[in-house]
Amino acid sequence: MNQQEQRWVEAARAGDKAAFSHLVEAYQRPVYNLAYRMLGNPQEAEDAAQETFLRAYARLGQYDPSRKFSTWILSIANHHAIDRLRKRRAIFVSIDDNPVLQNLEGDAPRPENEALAMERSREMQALIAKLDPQYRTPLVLRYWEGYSYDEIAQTMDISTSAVKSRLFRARKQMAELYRQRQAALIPPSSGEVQAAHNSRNRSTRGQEPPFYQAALVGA
Amino acid sequence: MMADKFIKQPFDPDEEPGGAAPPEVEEEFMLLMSLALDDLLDADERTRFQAYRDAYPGLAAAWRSWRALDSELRATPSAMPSANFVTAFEAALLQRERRRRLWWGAGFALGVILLSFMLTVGVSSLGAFVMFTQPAWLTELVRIAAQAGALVNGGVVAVRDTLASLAGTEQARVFMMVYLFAAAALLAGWVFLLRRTTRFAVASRTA
Repeated sequence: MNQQEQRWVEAARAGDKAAFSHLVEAYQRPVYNLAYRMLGNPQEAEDAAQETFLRAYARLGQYDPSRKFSTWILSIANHHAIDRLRKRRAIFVSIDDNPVLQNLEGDAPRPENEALAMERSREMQALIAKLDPQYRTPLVLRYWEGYSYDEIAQTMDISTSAVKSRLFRARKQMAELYRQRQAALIPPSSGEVQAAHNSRNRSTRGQEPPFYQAALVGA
Repeated sequence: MMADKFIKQPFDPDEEPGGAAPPEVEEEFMLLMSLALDDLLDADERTRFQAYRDAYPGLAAAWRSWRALDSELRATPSAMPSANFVTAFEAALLQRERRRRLWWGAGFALGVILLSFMLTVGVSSLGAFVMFTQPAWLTELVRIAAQAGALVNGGVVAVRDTLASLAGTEQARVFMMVYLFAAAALLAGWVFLLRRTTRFAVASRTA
């Protein structure tokens, strides 16, 4: 947290609403990103992000200045998102609404790289949505916020060993989902293509490792 | 490191490469992959990691797959909130505070009503209790109050009569005339000074 943000935090704790608005502006992206990756729905993520900041404002008196503001606010966001997931009966995965490029306006044809980014984001979100919520958080904090294991542990209020374990399980699940997605992209009728694909991914002398076929449940 | 808790299979460099990796090696390798992606392998683990990749092409393929996934995740941009997120938050905060003040106000009003009701009931009960248990004392109290009231009334009437008779005297009339004249003179002087000051202020402003 830079000095400017520290001043905003101190001013906000003293009751300055304008200072807290600056903090909202500074942290809206990571809070919303975490909420979206957890909940999978842009509107619900927006509501959750708003609620996170409202709760943070109400609890400013409890904030420990020795702790990073970002880990504190993301901790609130994480707990709130998990509470929302628990209350939901079904997990809604919105792969058509994509908030990554939602600021684009107009119906002008999008450049190819933007379309690819949108597609990539959609596919990644579809994979992430299938993960257990407790594995999503460390993944999001690692890849989108660049948090260290210690920072993730602080945010999630768990030990560093637990972070390592959850991150490993998240990657293992994601790898399996990713592999299934890649396999689904290959047309089954093309034998030559299938053989070429197999030669890229399998040992020429040994069989495909059993962990590729590991079940997702309990993985 | 976390990988240590799993049994490390002794690596045999003479073993024929290319065979399927044993399950324990696979599990260890997967843990090492996760740590490798975050660049958290120590020297020993890095050596083992490389050795496994060299020995088992299947594991090397898995590493490529994990790295591809890692690259895709890193390349996926952040989700962005709506453009008016901050404005919406400020409005929501205002609404929430208004609602909180409303609840506090309603609670306070309810508390006052409840307290007033209890006070009324308490005083009425006390009064009824005294009336029914101490009638003689109450009667004496009323009698004393009536006497006091009559005394006060008599005093007020006496003062009033005295003032009225004084006002009828010649000295009182003169004093009143002098007083009225002085008050009028003071008032005229004050108005004169006020008008002079205003005129001066307007003149200096136009200049």
